Amino acid sequence: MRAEILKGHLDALLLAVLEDGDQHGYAVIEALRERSQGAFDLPTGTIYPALHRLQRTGLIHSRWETVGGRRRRVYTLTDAGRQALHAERSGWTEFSAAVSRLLVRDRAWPATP
Amino acid sequence: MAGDPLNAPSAVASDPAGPIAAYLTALDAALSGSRRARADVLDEVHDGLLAATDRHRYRGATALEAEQAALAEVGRPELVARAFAGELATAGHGACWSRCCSPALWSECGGCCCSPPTGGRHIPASWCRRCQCSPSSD
Repeated sequence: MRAEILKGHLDALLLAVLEDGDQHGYAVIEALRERSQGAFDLPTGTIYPALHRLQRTGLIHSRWETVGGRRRRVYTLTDAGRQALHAERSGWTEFSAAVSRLLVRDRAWPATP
Repeated sequence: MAGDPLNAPSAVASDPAGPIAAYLTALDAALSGSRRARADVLDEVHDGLLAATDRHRYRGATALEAEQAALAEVGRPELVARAFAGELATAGHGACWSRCCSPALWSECGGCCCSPPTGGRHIPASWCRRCQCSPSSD
């Protein structure tokens, strides 16, 4: 998948990953990679700034923890983030269904009389 | 993601402390923003690199191979710094504003980025002497 297409949906994907619970940055990246079965394998460097942007806009928040002697930033979905994710899901379902109606050709057409 | 410049091999200088230390030094030099904001970014990237290294080690890589694989995932320091630039500029300015320029602190402005209050009025400087941000653009 082309990176520019994915980046247009990155915020929603990150919110979806955090819907399952608090995660640190690299765990978010791994979840994105694994849940997409390797299709979404963005460089880590693009994910951290996206997480910071989501925090600035109030869709997630973060806290620092100490794990194994090192600082770890852990992200949590906020109520506003949950609402934004719900809206993104609805929009995506409508959009993808419309695109599929136009692009997908392997469906069975009704027989003509 | 194939073809993404962030995935290009890293060209950081070698460091006796290892490739991750060399990478963090190069990233620190490339990052803009306040020292605290940069330190937070470096801590977060460092934690991610160590987590990625652990993952590669678990899959059988040697220590050096694991570190190099982790670095290949994160992207070249100057491009990672560029990806962070907008967020660090925003964070730095916001931090400066709350630290120096918020109305609650106007009485203490003499030693920070804002001009001292004059006759009960606050006259912000045209730019912040601490972080170079412009209070008027907040």
